[in-house]
Amino acid sequence: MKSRLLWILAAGAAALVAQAPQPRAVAIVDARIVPVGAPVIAQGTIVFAHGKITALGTHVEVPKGAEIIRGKGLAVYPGMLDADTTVGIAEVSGHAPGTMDVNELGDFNPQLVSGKSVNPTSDILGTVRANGVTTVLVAMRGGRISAQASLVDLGLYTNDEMNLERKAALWINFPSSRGGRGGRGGAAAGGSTAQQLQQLADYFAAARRYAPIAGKTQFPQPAMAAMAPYATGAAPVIFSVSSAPDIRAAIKFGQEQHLKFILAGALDAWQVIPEIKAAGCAVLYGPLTSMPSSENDPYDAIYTTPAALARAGIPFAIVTGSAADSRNLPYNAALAEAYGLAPAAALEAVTISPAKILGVDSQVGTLAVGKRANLMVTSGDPLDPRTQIQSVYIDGLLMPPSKHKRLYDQWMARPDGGK
Amino acid sequence: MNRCFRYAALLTLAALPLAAQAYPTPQQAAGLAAPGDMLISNATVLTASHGRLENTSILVRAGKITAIGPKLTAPAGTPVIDGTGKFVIPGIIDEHSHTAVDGGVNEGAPSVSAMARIKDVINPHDINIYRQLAGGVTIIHIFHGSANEIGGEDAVVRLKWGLPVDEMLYPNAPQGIKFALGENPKQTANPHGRYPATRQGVNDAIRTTFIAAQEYRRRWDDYHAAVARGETVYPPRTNLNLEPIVGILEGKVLVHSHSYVSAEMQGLIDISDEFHFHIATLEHCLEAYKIVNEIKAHNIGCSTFADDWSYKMEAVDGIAYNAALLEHKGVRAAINSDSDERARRLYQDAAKVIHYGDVTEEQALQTITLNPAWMLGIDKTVGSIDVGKDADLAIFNGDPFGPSALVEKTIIDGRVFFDRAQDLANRKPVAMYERLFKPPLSLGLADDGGGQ
Repeated sequence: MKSRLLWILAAGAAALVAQAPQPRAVAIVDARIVPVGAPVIAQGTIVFAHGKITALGTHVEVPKGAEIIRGKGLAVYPGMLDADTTVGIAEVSGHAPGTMDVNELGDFNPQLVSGKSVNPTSDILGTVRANGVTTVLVAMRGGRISAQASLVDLGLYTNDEMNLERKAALWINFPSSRGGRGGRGGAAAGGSTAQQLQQLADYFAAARRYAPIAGKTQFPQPAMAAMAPYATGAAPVIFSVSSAPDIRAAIKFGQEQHLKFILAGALDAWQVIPEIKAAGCAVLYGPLTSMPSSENDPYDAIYTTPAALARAGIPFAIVTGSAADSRNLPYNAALAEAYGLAPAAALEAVTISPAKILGVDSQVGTLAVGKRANLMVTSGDPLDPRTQIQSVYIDGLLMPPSKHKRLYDQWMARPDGGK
Repeated sequence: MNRCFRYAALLTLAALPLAAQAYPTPQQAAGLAAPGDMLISNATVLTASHGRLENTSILVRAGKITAIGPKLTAPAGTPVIDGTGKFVIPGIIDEHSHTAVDGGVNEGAPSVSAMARIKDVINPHDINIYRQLAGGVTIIHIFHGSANEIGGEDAVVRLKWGLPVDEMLYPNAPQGIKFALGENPKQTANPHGRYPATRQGVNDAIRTTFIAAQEYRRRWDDYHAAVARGETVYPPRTNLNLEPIVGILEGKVLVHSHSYVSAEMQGLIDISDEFHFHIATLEHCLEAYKIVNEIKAHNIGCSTFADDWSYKMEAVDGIAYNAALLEHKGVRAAINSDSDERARRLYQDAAKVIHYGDVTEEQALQTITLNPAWMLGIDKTVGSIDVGKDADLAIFNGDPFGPSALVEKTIIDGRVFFDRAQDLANRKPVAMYERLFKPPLSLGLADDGGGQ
């Protein structure tokens, strides 16, 4: 009898899973709602339909026929945005090149679009969104100009549907003055730093010469065509840099080339705060789980930098620069909070701040009417590692449990005994 | 010219009595060498053995905890740390570390290098010792790498920054030895053309070593028996590679085995049954959750990552719930770092065991304190806040598992080896020095030829 009941329940659950997404509205009621950028609603309701938030507040009418989720004792937060990842294009990072689409051959590949090969059923992707990260910037890492980075929603069913903005920015591993590859990329490029910089400048100059004839020539060059918006300052370029002299050099290069530029990684930013402030560029800072670059640096140099950026009024986001570790985005932010960043600013650094830096703040980054219904239901502050993430919605759809949770449930159910 | 200038600057720095980090002067080091007295008053104490105690004081005499309770008083002259608003936990024990190993951690040619010893190659000046103190770590378990089925003898080291290695080794810690299974000893990343190249071969190489050790022990037994009979015989030749394996067979040396997939762990358990030895811990053991019943039946500890996975094929079934599942099913789990970087924030990793699988606060704390102490065979003297135990403690600004936790003081044997306030104070003169003497970074560095 009991087993029959279980079967019925299981069949019911299967039916729920198998059900095609309904255009039915969802209302999470009686929850604490933390919209970010607007006052906290101590106990209220948030409604979303057709992938968008339609209402939130203390007194909100629940539309007829809406699915009602009881949120009492729970909190609703906007989904987080990790603005520097390889989620969906990197699966097994060591000794399994067949699972990696991160590093292309060649030094200049602006024609590549990072988000094109994002795998919707990547196991890593599933674990990242299970922690409340709902949007990521996916960036290939090879060569000097790696590819165009893509903003990807970690939900839905096809690569096409997931790409929020395929051509969000141009990823450049900025030449390092200390040898090797400056940014996060693969093998070192040839030539001195000065030669490498000149090569990069020449490439931008060529792209600007090509821009006026783009679309008009019978001999189209996809790489040059792809460069046009970035070379002319219409779309952002991301310089992946680390050391202080390289940050200075990247700023100088960006200014000389009249680019719209963002710094990524930028671990030694704490040494050049005034220069970054004067340049007026934004910083995608992280991962916080990095070592100080010198033995003589303060032990907490990386942890304290977000607070220093905030004090200087520099726009910044906290990022992981990772695939598997992208799920640790909130805990990267927590390390910054521990070392001086205000709690509200730490939350903004992984939600609205990266959305603003990448120009998608009208779509994601906060809970507001008209924005994408990317949100999480939690037992509390998502930056607190003890908090449980109850459920995650992306574009209004409830996301399935991660591979980790599935295997956990499967092996928790193993009876005692055995060999 | 630039290089000359920098050498001159370095020499000047060496002459200054100030170091960027709080590296103790010889006089201070002499003071730190002897166990200390102190009173930590009115703190929230997470004991790791008997729960959370509010408004509690800890009295330390000669490096040992002598009293725990509300409103303790100390003899005049005892240093007092006001713990009001602070949280005290046992010093963090990182069960899997390669910190401070001076040089490589693997042997290339032999697949079994049991004769190599970590304690011979510890660099007490490794900056990571200080950085980890700043993360509340007081003891690290230093291992060989995992390129060899049997890597060599480990060391249990207290992070007594500024003291010589001999004073850093944990007194009376049982000797342990590093084993390794799976992709690393079978040389997936770096094929040498060396046997073995499969998991079956790894298992065979370990079995063969134990067979050789049995035979070696028998030869010594025969020799001792002959001597006892009054015969004059030559002793067998000492084999340094088999001595530690005999130690395992005699229950004197603890086996800690790097492992990933459940089948290879089961294979090692089978060997331990065959040769009648106990496995102290499975290290990493990302798939331990798949053979938890078998691990429990053999009383093996599991020292794993909080959430690292998918960095190679044998790590694709690693789940962040591993430690919690083990704890729920009665197996003791530790969260380790295996990384100079991660070791600095093990408290946050331990909190993730609550996130992934909802263990209690005390269970989460035990994964970085009492459980690793048990795995290393030193839990009678360290690993929890109990009367009689070593005063190895970390003081946090608030809840160590909360989002704004940082370490304010780290104490070993009743002596403060890390003090954030002191560290911050030390930075001012260093920053002034840098302003005065350091060449502007934009000058010439780009022409320096590159390559560090």
